[in-house]
Amino acid sequence: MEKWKERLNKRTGPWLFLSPYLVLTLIFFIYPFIYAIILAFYQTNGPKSWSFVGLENFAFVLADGDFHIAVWNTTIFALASILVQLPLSLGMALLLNSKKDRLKGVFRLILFSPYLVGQIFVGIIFSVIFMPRYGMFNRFLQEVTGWGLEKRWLENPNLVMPALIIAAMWMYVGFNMIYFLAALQNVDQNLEEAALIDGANPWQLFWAVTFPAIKPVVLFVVVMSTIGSYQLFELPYALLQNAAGVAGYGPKDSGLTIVGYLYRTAFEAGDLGTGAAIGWLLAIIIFTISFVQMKIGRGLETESVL
Amino acid sequence: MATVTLVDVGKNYPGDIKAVEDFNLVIEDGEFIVLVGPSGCGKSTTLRMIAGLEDITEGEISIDDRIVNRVSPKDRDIAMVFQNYALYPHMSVRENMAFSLKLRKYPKTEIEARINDVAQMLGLTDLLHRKPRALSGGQRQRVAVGRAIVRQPSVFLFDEPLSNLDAKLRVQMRVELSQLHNEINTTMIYVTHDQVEAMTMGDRIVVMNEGLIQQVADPITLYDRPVNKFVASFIGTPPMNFFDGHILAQNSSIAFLSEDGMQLQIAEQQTKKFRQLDKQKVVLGIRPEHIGSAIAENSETVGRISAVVDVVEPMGAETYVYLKSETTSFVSRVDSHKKYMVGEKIELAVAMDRAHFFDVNTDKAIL
Repeated sequence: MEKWKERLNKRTGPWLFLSPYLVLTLIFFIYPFIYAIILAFYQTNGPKSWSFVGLENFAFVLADGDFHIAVWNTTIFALASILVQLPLSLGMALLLNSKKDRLKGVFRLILFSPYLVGQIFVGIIFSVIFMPRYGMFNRFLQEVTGWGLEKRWLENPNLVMPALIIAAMWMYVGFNMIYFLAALQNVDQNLEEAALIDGANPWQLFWAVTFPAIKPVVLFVVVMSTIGSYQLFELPYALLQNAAGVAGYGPKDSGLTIVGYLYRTAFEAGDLGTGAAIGWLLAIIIFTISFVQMKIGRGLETESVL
Repeated sequence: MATVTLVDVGKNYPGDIKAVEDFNLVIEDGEFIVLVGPSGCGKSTTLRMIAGLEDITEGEISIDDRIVNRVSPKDRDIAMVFQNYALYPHMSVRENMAFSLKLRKYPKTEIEARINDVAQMLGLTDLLHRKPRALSGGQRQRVAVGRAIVRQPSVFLFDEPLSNLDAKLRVQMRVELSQLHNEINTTMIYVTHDQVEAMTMGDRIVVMNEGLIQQVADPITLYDRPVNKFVASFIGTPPMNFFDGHILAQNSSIAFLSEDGMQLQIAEQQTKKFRQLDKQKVVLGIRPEHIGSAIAENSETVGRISAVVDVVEPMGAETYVYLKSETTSFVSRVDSHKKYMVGEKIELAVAMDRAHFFDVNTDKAIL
């Protein structure tokens, strides 16, 4: 009797401990995952009426002009994240890493803290900051450059994307900086000293020693940042909530992202089947880009700058 | 080719921590000088100040009459080998060696020629295309040395370069580095905590402790005439034995009387200076090889001490016998073919003409 009990415990014990995770995953990940695959092939008309349409949902989305706008906008945002935001993060990390300053921790916290605010609140805050005439941003521009006091950032289709990129930068520059800073602190000091003695200037030192050493982290941050960019939704939605045009997506859909397009289609228009198809297309886009990035990143042997 | 001169050099860290103080030394052109001492004694800091990796708080360092306090590392004409080798991991052996030459814009043909020469000299020719991670510890060490040699600098700096190698390789590399120095005859400054490395490699040795130079001398002088108790105990394995006691002058002879009552006659040539030290406390220092049964035949002044055998360590060529008298433990270095039993009480001869005496308060040698 005792033996049997013991054996049961040995077998079921681990499963018992795993069960909270497994149950939650089943309900909130596996089930929706499978459901979404099926859903993408159906035309829904309310939750009860389904009809099989094959690949029609996909065909519709791929041909839809709104989807093209959304992909374009999202891609611009992703490129800005990688080409502008990340170099800025790295630059800040290098600055913070260069001096053994007691205030280092304070600066790190200050720069990181916007991330803790969350996209919705950052969106709301920046919708005020970007107000023409009274907004902080325009006043700042006016003071520094003598230009831009009357700019309607959230109402001019050409300015919505830059505004969005700036807001996101404020939020994420410090967050990505933390990764870079951690990586920089792990670079072997002796390597940098060896390069100094070998005659490298700061620029050569960075490209010959520091960058190769932090390359794995850079690759990770680039991939994560791309994925995050393609999943962008709350920030523009909150930022453009009160702006002219369609609430939440900006004038002429200038702030429409792929997830925004998904949300509008699935939940505002109620077309769940098409929404599921958009979700799958987004997954494919993200997967492809990440795959290519990792291939390029791993293959690139950072040769010396000379 | 260069002389390196350090005048009153000091290094302070925030919080009034003095890493190095009053460091004065002239390193001759072509000399192999070793800085040795326990960890935290300031030897690495001194080396890093010479390299320019550490600011100099006080004093002046010059290389060939040029004060280099404010000269950046790359312009000091030095090369350094680090403990962890610091090879650029994404560059091949060839690229590692070429790096500094490329930065200094040497012509391609010259770079090639130099690398090939050095690779041949160090037996790296077949490894030139490999990345550092594909090399063994000894090979990496050699590449690190090679990277320094191709530069043909006027001073080589070594920061504990052999510490990461296993014992056998360490002995081998020690010999190779000495040979290398004989071959290229450039000034080398070598930091180590290993007194064996210091003794075997250095033309002169600088013994450091707590930021201060204790003694600068050639290996044999250091061994035979240590200026204080620290140097006496740091140089030599097993370390020198110390006995607390005092001087006792009787009639014509003068003796050392240890705390546990053991009386040792002081050698005749030393009696003069001890006459006025009658009844004063001193520390007697005797090296392990000067205590033992074989002493009697080739020493003029022989003392006798008896003690109980505690531990016996046969090394092959010789045996270390750890002994305990009433108040002190000490070690004797004896012929390995003589048998000793643990717990056995034995009497040993002491070569008193090789004895050292130290002041109780200052730890300085009584000379």
